[in-house]
Order: sequence, then C-alpha cells, then structure tokens
Amino acid sequence: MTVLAIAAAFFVTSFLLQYAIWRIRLPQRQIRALLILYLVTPVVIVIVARALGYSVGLSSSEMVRVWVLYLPVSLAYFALYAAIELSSPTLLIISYLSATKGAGCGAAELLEHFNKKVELRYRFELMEQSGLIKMTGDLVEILPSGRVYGNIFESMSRVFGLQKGG
Amino acid sequence: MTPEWLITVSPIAGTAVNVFLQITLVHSTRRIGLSILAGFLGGLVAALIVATLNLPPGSSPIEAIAVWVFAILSYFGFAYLYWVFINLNITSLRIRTLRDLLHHEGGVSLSQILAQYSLEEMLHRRLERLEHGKQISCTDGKYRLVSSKLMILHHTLGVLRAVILPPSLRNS
Repeated sequence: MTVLAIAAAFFVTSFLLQYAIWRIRLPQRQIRALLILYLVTPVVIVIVARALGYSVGLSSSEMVRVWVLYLPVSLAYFALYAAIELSSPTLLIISYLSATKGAGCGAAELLEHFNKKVELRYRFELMEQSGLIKMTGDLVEILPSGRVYGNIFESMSRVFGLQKGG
Repeated sequence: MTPEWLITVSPIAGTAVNVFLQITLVHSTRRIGLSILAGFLGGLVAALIVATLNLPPGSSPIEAIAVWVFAILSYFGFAYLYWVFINLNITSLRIRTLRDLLHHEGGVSLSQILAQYSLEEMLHRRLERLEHGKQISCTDGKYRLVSSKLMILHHTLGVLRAVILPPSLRNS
C-alpha cells in the first residue's frame, strides 16, 4: 500500500504543479516541459523528505516498484495529453456524425466540415515548436530529433508489417 | 531473483509477453486488431501470474490486493504506451510527415506535402478505418454513427481538456 500511496503522491504533486505552471506561463514545448516536470518533481520530493529526516522504510525492490508504477503511468498521461492538446480528426468526424442524430451526412458535407476544422498547418507548427522540423517559408526540413523519431517508426512499420498511415 | 524483485518486474514481464504475442500474431494472422487485443490480454495474465506466484507466504488480503493493483496499473501504463506506439504509426499525421521527410534530404515544400496528402485522402482513410471497425456505416451515400464508444472517448477528452488546459488553449 505504501508503494501505491507514494507513486500516487508523486503523480498528484506533479499534476498540481503542472496545473499551476500552465496557468502562469504556458511552456513553448509542452511535452518536453511535462517530461522534465514529472521526472524532477519526485526526485525533489525524495531529497526534501530525506533532508527533513522522513523515511518510509521501503526495501530497495519496493523503491524500484514505486518508479515501475509511476513512470509508465506518467508517460501514458503524456501520450493522453497529446490527444487532449489537439483534437484528433477521427474524433472530429465522430462528433459531427453524432450531431446529425441519426440523419447522417454525405461525404461532401463531411469534407466541408473537415476542411473547416482540420488545420494541417497548425500540426506543422506544433512539430516545429517541438524541434522535430524547421519551416523556412514554404520549405520544410527534418531536424535530427525528428529524424530519430522518423527512423524509429520506419523500423516499427517493418516489424509490424504496417503501411504508411496518416 | 528473489520473489520481491519478481513482483517488481511482473509488469515488465507482462509487457514483454504482450509485445512477443502481438508481433507473432500480426505476422501469422495479418490481423492487427486481434494481435493487439490478444497481446494485451496475454501480457496481463502473465503479469498477474508472476505477481501472484511470488506473493510472500501468509500475505494478508490487503497486501495481495496492493500487489495486484500495482501489477495491473503498471502493466496498463506499459500496455497503453505500446498501443499508442503502434497506433501512431497507423493514424498519426505527424508521424507520417516525419517518415515522408526522411526521404527528402534538403527538405520539401509544404505545398508539395499537402498535395501528396490532401485533406480528402485523410478523411477517406479515416472513414475507411471507422467503417472497418464498425464505428460508422454508410447507407445510400450517407454516413451514420453506429457505435457510441468513440463518442464517449470524445466527451472524456473534452472534460480532460477543460480541466487541464488553460482557457487560451482549449479551442485550438
């Protein structure tokens, strides 16, 4: 139970700090800021607790267990954050069809709605802010960190036999 | 490895089983959805078996539940990350763009990228996936919502957006 409580305390503290920071000044590169915040916060908590003489009496395997729980849950939150940050085109379609209340709509109408709601340029701007690409006027160039991700997903598609998506 | 450490690594062992099963099944059956589901369930069972078999003798029900909650939550975190990893390859516009850019040393014009991958094609791919997944149907040229699962997800993300994002970002 102590492992669960500590991991929960780490996550809740990181989340509350994120909530406050995001309202004071929104970071330029949000996912990177989340990574740093959620990694640094628990380390600071542990250092401060030790400095104040607190000890929870966990064994070394239990201390690792806290991180085995905290890290994937935090990373899963970052993945979810990307979906929260920007509405997915698929969910925009679902939302529009739901609003027709069973009457449905044709492809042309859907395309018109899609054209209004899906801003491809904004997605490129986000990628530029994240340091994955550089845009100079109309020219788009991939940066080294973008190349790393691109190669990872190229390799993955071969392992899983997936066609290029989008 | 002591039983305590085996409990600690049980979610990781489950994830390894998940990945192995998923890759094996996708190559043998060519059914990505089935492979993801089977991998997820197989990994979950593996994680719980490893955690349960290594519970200290005489553990109280509370201690056993705490271990299972740890194994399940950690495994779900790993499994969700793995699913996102696969799903991004299938659906992400940004990943597709990065993969396209890999083959263009010196860059490419944005108008060329948009010409290669138009909004119309993007919409068509998504409608195909939604029909294949029985989320929507097309009758007499009209698309209709068949399943409410994605709508629930849409509303949930909307609530999370309202809570987490500052007001200036919510409508982007």
